[in-house]
Amino acid sequence: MQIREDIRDGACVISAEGRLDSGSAGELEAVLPARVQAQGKVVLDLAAVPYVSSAGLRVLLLGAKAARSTGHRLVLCGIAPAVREVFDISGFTSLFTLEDDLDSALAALG
Amino acid sequence: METEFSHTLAAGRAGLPAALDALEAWLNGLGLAPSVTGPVMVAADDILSNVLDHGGAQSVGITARAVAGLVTVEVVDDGEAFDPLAVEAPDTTLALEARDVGGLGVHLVRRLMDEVRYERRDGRNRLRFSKTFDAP
Repeated sequence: MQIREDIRDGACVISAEGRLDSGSAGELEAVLPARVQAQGKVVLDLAAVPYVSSAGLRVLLLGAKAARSTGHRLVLCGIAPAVREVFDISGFTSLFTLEDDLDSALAALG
Repeated sequence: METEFSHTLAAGRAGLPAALDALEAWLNGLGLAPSVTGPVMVAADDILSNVLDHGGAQSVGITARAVAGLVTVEVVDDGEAFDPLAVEAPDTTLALEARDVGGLGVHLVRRLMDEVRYERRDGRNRLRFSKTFDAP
Protein backbone atom coordinates (compact mmCIF):
# COMPACT_ATOMS: atom_id res chain seq x y z
CA MET A 1 0.00 0.00 0.00
CA GLN A 2 1.16 3.53 -0.76
CA ILE A 3 0.37 6.31 1.68
CA ARG A 4 0.83 9.96 0.84
CA GLU A 5 0.31 12.95 3.10
CA ASP A 6 -0.44 16.54 2.11
CA ILE A 7 -1.76 19.66 3.80
CA ARG A 8 -4.70 21.20 1.99
CA ASP A 9 -6.84 24.10 3.22
CA GLY A 10 -5.45 23.58 6.71
CA ALA A 11 -6.38 19.91 6.79
CA CYS A 12 -4.07 16.92 6.87
CA VAL A 13 -4.93 14.79 3.82
CA ILE A 14 -3.86 11.15 3.89
CA SER A 15 -4.24 9.37 0.56
CA ALA A 16 -4.02 5.58 0.54
CA GLU A 17 -3.55 3.46 -2.56
CA GLY A 18 -3.92 -0.32 -2.77
CA ARG A 19 -5.86 -2.92 -0.85
CA LEU A 20 -6.33 -2.29 2.86
CA ASP A 21 -6.02 -5.75 4.36
CA SER A 22 -4.00 -7.78 6.87
CA GLY A 23 -0.80 -7.18 4.92
CA SER A 24 -1.11 -3.40 4.67
CA ALA A 25 -3.19 -2.38 7.70
CA GLY A 26 -0.04 -1.90 9.78
CA GLU A 27 1.22 0.76 7.37
CA LEU A 28 -1.92 2.83 7.82
CA GLU A 29 -1.99 2.15 11.56
CA ALA A 30 1.45 3.77 11.78
CA VAL A 31 0.02 7.01 10.38
CA LEU A 32 -3.73 7.48 10.84
CA PRO A 33 -4.32 7.43 14.64
CA ALA A 34 -1.22 9.58 15.26
CA ARG A 35 -2.27 12.22 12.70
CA VAL A 36 -5.80 12.35 14.10
CA GLN A 37 -4.33 12.77 17.60
CA ALA A 38 -2.13 15.64 16.43
CA GLN A 39 -4.28 17.47 13.85
CA GLY A 40 -7.67 19.09 14.23
CA LYS A 41 -8.79 18.19 10.70
CA VAL A 42 -7.87 15.00 8.88
CA VAL A 43 -9.15 13.63 5.58
CA LEU A 44 -8.50 10.00 4.64
CA ASP A 45 -8.87 9.66 0.87
CA LEU A 46 -9.70 6.04 -0.03
CA ALA A 47 -10.43 6.64 -3.73
CA ALA A 48 -7.57 4.33 -4.78
CA VAL A 49 -8.43 1.55 -2.31
CA PRO A 50 -10.38 -1.21 -4.07
CA TYR A 51 -11.43 -3.08 -0.92
CA VAL A 52 -11.05 -3.17 2.86
CA SER A 53 -11.01 -6.34 4.97
CA SER A 54 -11.57 -6.54 8.73
CA ALA A 55 -7.89 -5.78 9.45
CA GLY A 56 -8.39 -2.48 7.63
CA LEU A 57 -11.67 -1.77 9.41
CA ARG A 58 -9.84 -2.16 12.69
CA VAL A 59 -7.40 0.64 11.78
CA LEU A 60 -10.20 2.92 10.58
CA LEU A 61 -11.96 2.34 13.90
CA LEU A 62 -8.77 3.32 15.75
CA GLY A 63 -8.81 6.56 13.75
CA ALA A 64 -12.46 7.24 14.63
CA LYS A 65 -11.78 6.55 18.30
CA ALA A 66 -8.79 8.93 18.25
CA ALA A 67 -11.02 11.63 16.75
CA ARG A 68 -13.70 11.06 19.34
CA SER A 69 -11.32 11.17 22.29
CA THR A 70 -9.57 14.37 21.14
CA GLY A 71 -12.55 16.19 19.63
CA HIS A 72 -10.70 16.30 16.31
CA ARG A 73 -12.42 15.69 12.99
CA LEU A 74 -11.82 12.80 10.62
CA VAL A 75 -13.58 12.63 7.25
CA LEU A 76 -13.32 9.67 4.84
CA CYS A 77 -13.81 10.23 1.13
CA GLY A 78 -13.90 8.41 -2.18
CA ILE A 79 -14.89 4.98 -0.90
CA ALA A 80 -15.48 2.41 -3.64
CA PRO A 81 -18.78 0.49 -3.83
CA ALA A 82 -17.09 -2.71 -2.54
CA VAL A 83 -15.79 -0.73 0.46
CA ARG A 84 -19.19 0.84 1.01
CA GLU A 85 -20.73 -2.65 1.15
CA VAL A 86 -18.25 -3.70 3.86
CA PHE A 87 -18.97 -0.50 5.80
CA ASP A 88 -22.71 -1.10 5.63
CA ILE A 89 -22.63 -4.69 6.88
CA SER A 90 -20.16 -3.79 9.65
CA GLY A 91 -22.24 -0.91 10.96
CA PHE A 92 -19.40 1.47 10.10
CA THR A 93 -21.38 3.82 7.86
CA SER A 94 -22.92 5.56 10.86
CA LEU A 95 -19.58 5.79 12.70
CA PHE A 96 -17.87 7.94 10.04
CA THR A 97 -18.37 11.15 8.12
CA LEU A 98 -18.25 10.01 4.48
CA GLU A 99 -17.90 12.35 1.52
CA ASP A 100 -17.85 11.57 -2.20
CA ASP A 101 -14.49 13.15 -2.99
CA LEU A 102 -11.63 15.18 -1.57
CA ASP A 103 -13.15 18.56 -2.46
CA SER A 104 -16.40 17.80 -0.66
CA ALA A 105 -14.45 16.40 2.29
CA LEU A 106 -12.47 19.64 2.59
CA ALA A 107 -15.68 21.65 2.22
CA ALA A 108 -17.28 19.61 4.99
CA LEU A 109 -14.38 20.42 7.30
CA GLY A 110 -14.81 24.13 6.55
CA MET B 1 -9.25 -18.14 -19.15
CA GLU B 2 -7.81 -20.24 -16.34
CA THR B 3 -10.76 -21.47 -14.31
CA GLU B 4 -8.79 -23.19 -11.56
CA PHE B 5 -6.39 -21.74 -9.03
CA SER B 6 -4.07 -23.39 -6.52
CA HIS B 7 -1.55 -21.90 -4.11
CA THR B 8 0.30 -23.12 -1.04
CA LEU B 9 1.15 -20.56 1.61
CA ALA B 10 4.89 -20.42 2.13
CA ALA B 11 6.31 -19.44 5.53
CA GLY B 12 3.02 -18.95 7.33
CA ARG B 13 1.85 -15.37 7.75
CA ALA B 14 4.85 -14.07 5.80
CA GLY B 15 3.43 -15.81 2.75
CA LEU B 16 -0.03 -14.28 3.00
CA PRO B 17 0.52 -11.18 0.84
CA ALA B 18 1.94 -13.31 -1.99
CA ALA B 19 -1.02 -15.70 -1.75
CA LEU B 20 -3.47 -12.78 -1.94
CA ASP B 21 -1.53 -11.27 -4.87
CA ALA B 22 -1.81 -14.57 -6.72
CA LEU B 23 -5.52 -14.97 -5.98
CA GLU B 24 -6.22 -11.39 -7.03
CA ALA B 25 -4.33 -11.85 -10.30
CA TRP B 26 -6.34 -15.00 -11.01
CA LEU B 27 -9.65 -13.28 -10.27
CA ASN B 28 -8.71 -10.29 -12.43
CA GLY B 29 -7.76 -12.69 -15.23
CA LEU B 30 -11.31 -14.01 -15.18
CA GLY B 31 -12.58 -10.52 -15.95
CA LEU B 32 -14.89 -10.46 -12.95
CA ALA B 33 -16.47 -7.20 -11.77
CA PRO B 34 -15.05 -5.42 -8.68
CA SER B 35 -18.35 -6.22 -6.96
CA VAL B 36 -17.26 -9.88 -7.09
CA THR B 37 -13.47 -9.72 -6.73
CA GLY B 38 -13.62 -7.24 -3.81
CA PRO B 39 -15.81 -9.40 -1.56
CA VAL B 40 -13.94 -12.60 -2.51
CA MET B 41 -10.60 -10.95 -1.66
CA VAL B 42 -11.95 -9.64 1.65
CA ALA B 43 -13.22 -13.13 2.52
CA ALA B 44 -9.89 -14.71 1.53
CA ASP B 45 -7.89 -12.29 3.68
CA ASP B 46 -10.17 -12.74 6.67
CA ILE B 47 -10.33 -16.54 6.46
CA LEU B 48 -6.59 -16.96 5.87
CA SER B 49 -5.77 -14.50 8.68
CA ASN B 50 -8.07 -16.47 10.96
CA VAL B 51 -6.41 -19.78 10.06
CA LEU B 52 -2.94 -18.32 10.60
CA ASP B 53 -3.94 -16.86 13.98
CA HIS B 54 -5.37 -20.14 15.28
CA GLY B 55 -4.46 -23.75 15.43
CA GLY B 56 -0.75 -23.78 14.51
CA ALA B 57 -1.10 -25.13 10.96
CA GLN B 58 2.09 -26.34 9.26
CA SER B 59 0.48 -26.36 5.87
CA VAL B 60 -2.13 -23.97 4.47
CA GLY B 61 -3.39 -24.40 0.95
CA ILE B 62 -5.83 -22.36 -1.07
CA THR B 63 -7.65 -23.56 -4.17
CA ALA B 64 -10.33 -21.84 -6.19
CA ARG B 65 -12.45 -22.46 -9.23
CA ALA B 66 -14.90 -20.49 -11.29
CA VAL B 67 -17.60 -22.56 -12.94
CA ALA B 68 -21.08 -21.74 -14.17
CA GLY B 69 -21.34 -18.32 -12.58
CA LEU B 70 -19.97 -19.38 -9.21
CA VAL B 71 -16.51 -18.66 -7.83
CA THR B 72 -15.58 -20.98 -4.97
CA VAL B 73 -12.49 -20.69 -2.77
CA GLU B 74 -11.38 -23.45 -0.39
CA VAL B 75 -8.79 -23.02 2.36
CA VAL B 76 -7.36 -26.27 3.75
CA ASP B 77 -5.03 -26.43 6.75
CA ASP B 78 -3.60 -29.15 8.98
CA GLY B 79 -3.90 -27.23 12.27
CA GLU B 80 -6.07 -28.11 15.26
CA ALA B 81 -9.77 -28.49 14.60
CA PHE B 82 -11.15 -24.98 14.44
CA ASP B 83 -14.47 -23.84 13.04
CA PRO B 84 -14.29 -20.06 12.55
CA LEU B 85 -18.01 -20.02 11.79
CA ALA B 86 -18.74 -21.07 15.38
CA VAL B 87 -17.69 -17.70 16.78
CA GLU B 88 -20.39 -15.34 17.95
CA ALA B 89 -21.39 -12.54 15.58
CA PRO B 90 -20.31 -9.09 16.77
CA ASP B 91 -22.89 -6.43 17.62
CA THR B 92 -22.60 -4.05 14.67
CA THR B 93 -25.11 -1.58 16.10
CA LEU B 94 -23.01 -0.43 19.06
CA ALA B 95 -21.90 3.19 19.37
CA LEU B 96 -18.30 4.10 18.60
CA GLU B 97 -17.11 4.03 22.21
CA ALA B 98 -18.43 0.50 22.70
CA ARG B 99 -17.16 -0.98 19.44
CA ASP B 100 -14.40 -3.52 19.72
CA VAL B 101 -11.62 -3.20 17.17
CA GLY B 102 -11.71 -6.87 16.24
CA GLY B 103 -14.03 -9.77 15.59
CA LEU B 104 -15.55 -8.55 12.34
CA GLY B 105 -13.81 -10.91 9.94
CA VAL B 106 -16.11 -13.91 10.02
CA HIS B 107 -19.14 -11.62 10.06
CA LEU B 108 -17.91 -10.06 6.82
CA VAL B 109 -17.34 -13.46 5.20
CA ARG B 110 -20.83 -14.66 6.12
CA ARG B 111 -22.49 -11.53 4.80
CA LEU B 112 -20.40 -11.05 1.65
CA MET B 113 -20.49 -14.65 0.42
CA ASP B 114 -23.48 -16.58 -0.89
CA GLU B 115 -22.34 -19.78 0.78
CA VAL B 116 -19.84 -20.57 3.53
CA ARG B 117 -19.12 -24.05 4.85
CA TYR B 118 -16.71 -25.57 7.36
CA GLU B 119 -15.74 -29.21 7.44
CA ARG B 120 -13.20 -31.22 9.44
CA ARG B 121 -12.05 -34.13 7.29
CA ASP B 122 -8.93 -36.33 7.23
CA GLY B 123 -7.33 -34.30 10.02
CA ARG B 124 -7.73 -31.07 8.12
CA ASN B 125 -9.89 -27.97 8.41
CA ARG B 126 -11.69 -27.13 5.18
CA LEU B 127 -13.34 -23.75 4.87
CA ARG B 128 -15.14 -23.15 1.62
CA PHE B 129 -16.84 -19.98 0.47
CA SER B 130 -18.61 -19.11 -2.75
CA LYS B 131 -19.98 -16.11 -4.55
CA THR B 132 -22.17 -16.02 -7.63
CA PHE B 133 -21.34 -13.77 -10.56
CA ASP B 134 -22.78 -12.81 -13.92
CA ALA B 135 -20.66 -14.38 -16.65
CA PRO B 136 -18.49 -11.60 -18.15
